Amino acid sequence: MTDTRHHLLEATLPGRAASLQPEELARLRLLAADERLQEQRRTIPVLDKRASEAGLTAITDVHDLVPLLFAHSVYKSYPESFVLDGRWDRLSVWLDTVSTHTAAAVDVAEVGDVDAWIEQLRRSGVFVMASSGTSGKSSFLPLNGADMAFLEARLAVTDRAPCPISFLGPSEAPMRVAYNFKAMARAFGRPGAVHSLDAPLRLSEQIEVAALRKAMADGTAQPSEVAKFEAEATRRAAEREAAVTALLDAVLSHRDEPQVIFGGWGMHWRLLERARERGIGDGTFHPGTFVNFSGGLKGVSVPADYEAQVFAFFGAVQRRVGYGMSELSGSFVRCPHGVYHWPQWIVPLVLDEAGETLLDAGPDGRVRGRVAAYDPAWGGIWGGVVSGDQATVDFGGCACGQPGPTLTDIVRYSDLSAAGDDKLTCGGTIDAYIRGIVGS
Amino acid sequence: MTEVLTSAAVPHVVKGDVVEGAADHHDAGGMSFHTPRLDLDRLVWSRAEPLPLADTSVDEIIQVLAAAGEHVRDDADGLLGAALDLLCRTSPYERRILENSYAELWRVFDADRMRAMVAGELGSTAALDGWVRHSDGGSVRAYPSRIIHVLAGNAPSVAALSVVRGALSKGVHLLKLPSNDLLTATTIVRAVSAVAPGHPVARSFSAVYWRGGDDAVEGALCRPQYFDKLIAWGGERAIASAAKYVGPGFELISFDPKNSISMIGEEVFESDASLRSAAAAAALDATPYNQEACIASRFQFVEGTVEQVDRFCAQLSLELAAERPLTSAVVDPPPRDVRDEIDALAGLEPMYRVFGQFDGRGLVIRSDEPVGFSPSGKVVNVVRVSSLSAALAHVNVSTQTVGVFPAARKAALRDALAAAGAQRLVPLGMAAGGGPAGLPHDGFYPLHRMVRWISDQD
Repeated sequence: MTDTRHHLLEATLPGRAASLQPEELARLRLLAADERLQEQRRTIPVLDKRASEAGLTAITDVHDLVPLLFAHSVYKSYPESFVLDGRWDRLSVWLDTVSTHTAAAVDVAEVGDVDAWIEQLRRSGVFVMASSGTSGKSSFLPLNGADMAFLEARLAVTDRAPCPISFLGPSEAPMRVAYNFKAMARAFGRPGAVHSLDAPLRLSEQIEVAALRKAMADGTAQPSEVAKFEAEATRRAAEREAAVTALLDAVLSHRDEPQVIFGGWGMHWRLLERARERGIGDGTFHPGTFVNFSGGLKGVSVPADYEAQVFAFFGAVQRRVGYGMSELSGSFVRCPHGVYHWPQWIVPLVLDEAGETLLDAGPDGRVRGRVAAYDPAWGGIWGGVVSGDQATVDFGGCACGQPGPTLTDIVRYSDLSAAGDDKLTCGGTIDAYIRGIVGS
Repeated sequence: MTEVLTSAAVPHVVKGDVVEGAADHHDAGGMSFHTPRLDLDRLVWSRAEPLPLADTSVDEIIQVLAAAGEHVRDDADGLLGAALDLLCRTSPYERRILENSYAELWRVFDADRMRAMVAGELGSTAALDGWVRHSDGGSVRAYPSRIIHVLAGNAPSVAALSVVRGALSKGVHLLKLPSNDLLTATTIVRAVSAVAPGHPVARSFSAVYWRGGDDAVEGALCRPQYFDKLIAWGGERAIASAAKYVGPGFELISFDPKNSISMIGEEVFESDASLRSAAAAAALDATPYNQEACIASRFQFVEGTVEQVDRFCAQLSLELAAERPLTSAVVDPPPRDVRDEIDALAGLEPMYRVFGQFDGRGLVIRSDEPVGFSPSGKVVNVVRVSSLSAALAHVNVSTQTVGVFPAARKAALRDALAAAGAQRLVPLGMAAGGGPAGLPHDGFYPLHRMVRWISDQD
């Protein structure tokens, strides 16, 4: 690690004293960004191309970062046929273009599906974090060993006595949340009281849907394949439901002692519903309980006041509400004043909707726009990201005493765009001709 | 755009009469507009009375339509100009393209073309004009129908064709205006009233707006008691929405969303001249309405070595930059996720090769299999194939137009293309040509489908 990064992280990681003046913090962040650019443009072709096209040889100003920011789509920019046709060698070559790795050197001759590809790479020190796009493509974000160690070191900082710990999701999954959970379970999970969905998350199941749709588009899918797939998807869904119920019951069984619960809002809602089904009311959790809320609703339908209901359900417990994205090494934690605080080692950026222009804060220190950031912590990938979210960012302080900037009123741009139901055009693709497949 | 635009006044036409008013306010298609209140009872035609055009001859109808076409062309009352101005507020196309498409509108009303349409699709006017003796006994009449048209707004020819086909088939027609083109259909129908006030052709058309998917309106009207058929243009959602109402006595005729391709044989490399002219023809086929039209070619399958195909790609990317009557010189760049994928493909040379920049002038991606996204905005995917028959695997029922070079190779490919799902073969460069009237559209004869075929047995 460079001196700059070391100095920056030492001063800014959670639990450290905020010992830097704002100007010094800004200077260190930019210096760290420039160091990373010089290092990483030699090994990340997409970064090098962007920097060359922008005529950038160094980062000396936050504006320099803007053309270098990667949207999430960069990490799913591979030709889908590589995955559908099992061209793991080509997928590795693609992975190398968006990261500092040389995954192409890893032998994938024996790899049979995408989960095996991820596992084979993991064994070689390429830690692929994947998102399971439900009907779209999966994204692949490859961290390296140093990145994983950086994340784990922060999670293992705890003096908590062994206690039950639950993750309302699959712990065997190539995802940050799963790794986080396992690190914490190792640090303080009481043996026999560590709960999650045991069945490994298999990305190859998602890909089967996409492969079947492609076969239908090509005209090569047989009706029996469609029928078989739909039956299998129904069976898997039923199995998953049973496993979720068992997990929720396990969490509920520890209500009278301190426990740690991690989950997305959708799953917390399901925990509440399960409790109500069983006649369990509000406020029955031990006050030493710690509950972490992150992620979205993931398709679970909830009433407008779901947050208030979930908080009332847990009662007086310790709560941590977070916002984040897989491209950043730190999450934004909500303070008692209800705003999310920016991780201090990460450069805050607010862009216009198009994602091309940096917006300045108004005279009140606030601005609303597209959330973007530069994170110098990563070694495996470039830390510049432009998100799909719109938020209000306040560059001033916060009454809670923690440093800003802070975020509020976060919405997805995709939820904002008008449906345009009346606008009809004649151009289209084969997708309109494939009626939905169960499980997709 | 930050200026505050006033709400636009959109008139209705009900059975030939203009209805103005501002009772209903709408926000759709990117703007605010107001329309008169819908009177659903006036939008239906009773079965108890014969339809207005039932006893009018096709010849007379053609005369009225031809006069309406002249009226539209002259635009003495400025209505077409007003339609253009309104369209410019929200259209993704520059004014020049919209002017060009309106300038050609009158051709749909050319008398010879209309006669050829009837002759091509129905054989003759006989069954429309009366009862035709069947060879083995009995008689048949092509009896007019009552039809709702859910129009698409991306090209004014949709409204023009709907009126021409509707009048020729002698039915009664309720045209639902699309929010992205609120005035073209009413302008055309008003032209008919202007040249032949009160004439049965004028009385056979209504053009009104309601929000697509509005159950209160569609649930009331889409019934066999009032209408026999619904014609839906493009868009999966529009067609799925229309399909809800299909049942005994109420039929759906859909112009489905389509995409188009080109197939270019190795003969193109015989000379520099043939390479250049084929690249120009391929670019012409790829670019109507900035490649958003269904006829626009997105995937071009080229026989040849990598070196040869790359030469074609380089030439094609230069040709794409040209400004054309229905194409801008510079278009918006592709969406971010597509740009990121194209960047990734550029990084995977020599597997893929990208020609051009994201400057909106045109870009070509060379690959050995079709890319996963649908290229648009002057982006063409050239797929290198060992032979054109290998390209057939990528043709399916959503494929509409296949432009072929050299034209002589169409004959050997056409049966296989038809089997794979394609509907229309053309020589490369002729995708937007329109072609002779009377040929099928999207695999069927619209006039044939728009009537009910009634038999009278001896």
